[in-house]
Amino acid sequence: MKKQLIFKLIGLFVIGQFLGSCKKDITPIYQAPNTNLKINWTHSIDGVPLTMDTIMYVNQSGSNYSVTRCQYYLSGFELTKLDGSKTKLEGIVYGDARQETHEIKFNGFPAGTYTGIEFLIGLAPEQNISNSLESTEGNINMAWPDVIGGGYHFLKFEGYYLDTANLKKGFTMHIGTNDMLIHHQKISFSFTVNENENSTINLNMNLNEWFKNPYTYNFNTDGNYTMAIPTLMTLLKNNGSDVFSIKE
Amino acid sequence: MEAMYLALKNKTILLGLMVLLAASCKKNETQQTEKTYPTPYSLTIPKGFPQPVLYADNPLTEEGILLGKMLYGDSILSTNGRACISCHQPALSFSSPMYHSWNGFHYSVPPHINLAFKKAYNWDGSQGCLDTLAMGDFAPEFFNANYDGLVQKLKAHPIYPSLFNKAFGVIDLNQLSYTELKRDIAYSIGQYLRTKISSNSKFDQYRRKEVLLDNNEYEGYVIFFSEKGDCFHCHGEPLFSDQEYHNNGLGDTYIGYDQGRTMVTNKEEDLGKFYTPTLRNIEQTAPYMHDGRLKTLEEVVEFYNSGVKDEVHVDPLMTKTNGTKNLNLTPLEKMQLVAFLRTLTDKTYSTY
Ligand code: HEC
Ligand code: HEC
Repeated sequence: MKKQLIFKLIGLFVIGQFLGSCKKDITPIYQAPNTNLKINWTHSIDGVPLTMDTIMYVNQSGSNYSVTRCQYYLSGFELTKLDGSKTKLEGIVYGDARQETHEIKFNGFPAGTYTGIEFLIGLAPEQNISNSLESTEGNINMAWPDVIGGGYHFLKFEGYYLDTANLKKGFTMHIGTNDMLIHHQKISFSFTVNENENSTINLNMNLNEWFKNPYTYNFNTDGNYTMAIPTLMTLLKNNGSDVFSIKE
Repeated sequence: MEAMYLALKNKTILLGLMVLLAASCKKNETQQTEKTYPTPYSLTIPKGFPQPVLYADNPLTEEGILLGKMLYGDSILSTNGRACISCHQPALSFSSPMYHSWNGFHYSVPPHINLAFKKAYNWDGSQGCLDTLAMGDFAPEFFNANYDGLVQKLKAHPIYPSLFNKAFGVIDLNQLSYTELKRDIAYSIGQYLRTKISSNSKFDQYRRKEVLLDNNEYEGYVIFFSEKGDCFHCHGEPLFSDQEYHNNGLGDTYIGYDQGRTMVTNKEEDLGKFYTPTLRNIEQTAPYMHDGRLKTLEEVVEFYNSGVKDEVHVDPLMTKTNGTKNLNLTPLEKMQLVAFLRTLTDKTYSTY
């Protein structure tokens, strides 16, 4: 019996040595709450899942259109607590409607019951600085040139539409510069985040919301091109504050 | 008896664990001594560039790169005197002043600049992988290569046999099948081409605050990167390509290679789309566009200024601020845009 115990102790000691030498760099750190939240989202047009590249949608002003590109940033996520206080969740995520899945994960924030979520479409001024994001293909292509202010595009929404003569034309709805930062309104719903559990929120962007509420945007009369036209960008910015909703 | 057995089992598990841990700690020790290994090589990535595309089965090595470099310039690969550099001329950033005719269509010879960062190759993106791309060049219409002759010539060469050995562990070239031989050649050339990185044009130096642009170059820079010329949406920094496919409005009929990306995807919406080419060293790589239809940068700028076709497949990004597809640049502005394009030349680059 004793012999076996000694054997085991030696074994443990040896393992300890190995473990020690392999994990040299790990030092204990502050223990944040073990909360995990994943936000997923999808893209649709008035309830129908988005199909790219086909003229099959109708916007509020009656134009038939297709989507060839929808790329944007979401950042500055905030959860509202029952008492009205806010919990900030740090993180920036690039969205591209052409990709299959869209998610951002947060952890280590206080557990509790929350009444809603809000966020920015775009980047806050302190983040909207040229080359501040990692040089991924997505970030590189979202760059907003220095000669026109620097930073990043907040939204690139492009496609084709049929004009009043039924001819196919292109549209490019781009938004950028700090003035155009979109504060997405609070999406209200009650949810509880518990420690040691994985929580998920499912959102959906309705692309038709970019063209309505409050302003019914018309490619034919307002313009099919927003670049360097702050008045048009402002219309889209205002329309953009309710493009996302909770997905049931 | 039972207790004994359990204790024994515990011990074996412990021993097993120990062995496992020992193994995982000693991963990097080599067991064999006879075999030599090529020397790993790592690319220096310029600031702001994306990560290069590398494949685990063809890691860059000094020996592989040297072999690729030698083969790239050597007509030993062909039976018709051709080498890669016959068309991809080093002094012209590895492009050619002549388009290449094939099957009745014209193909402009694209340069080799920052290929390590490209997601797809050829004008229509028909090749996804740089490592295997050169395998197609042994075909009759290019090199008209043949296996027996190629192996004989390579074996008789004073350096190649040992380089194949050092780079890929090939003891005897005869032991490779034709496909394996072509693959090793293509792999080595793929390694070499990845080292051809350019980030030292006058414009790069300007962005690093090392030099100033002259007035026309600067005005051209503003035109390029603002809605005035609106080139940046497709040809943005640092690669001067967004790595996507676009129809930039060159034509309104789509025959043969003019169909572009549709040749690969068979999708109607891809008609006339091509992989956005880099504009680095553009002044050295005329003629321009997939078929080399434009001879000078002045012609290119005039095309974007007034020649973009109003056709339904043209990219939405070609619609400009006044709703038309024209830029309405003045003669001075056109000259300035060309002056800017010339600042993209890296004079330190084109050495083979
Ligand atoms: C007869 C002229 C010719 C020869 C010889 C030739 N090429 Fe090319 N190369 C071309 C043309 C033309 C294209 C464009 C083809 C297309 O887009 O469909 C091309 C495309 C390429 C590309 C893709 C570049 C890009 O940016 O997408 C690479 C890489 C390349 N060649 C490497 C080689 C190598 C390596 C060799 C020698 C083994 C070689 N070429 C020999 C004419 C040539
Ligand atoms: C909608 C995207 C787009 C825009 C905007 C655009 N280009 Fe291009 N550019 C392309 C594509 C795609 C090609 C290749 C077309 C082909 O080969 O048929 C190209 C080709 C070129 C070439 C020839 C490159 C070569 O190697 O042959 C030059 C030069 C060029 N563009 C300059 C410009 C300039 C200057 C502007 C602004 C006035 C501009 N481009 C705007 C997409 C674009």
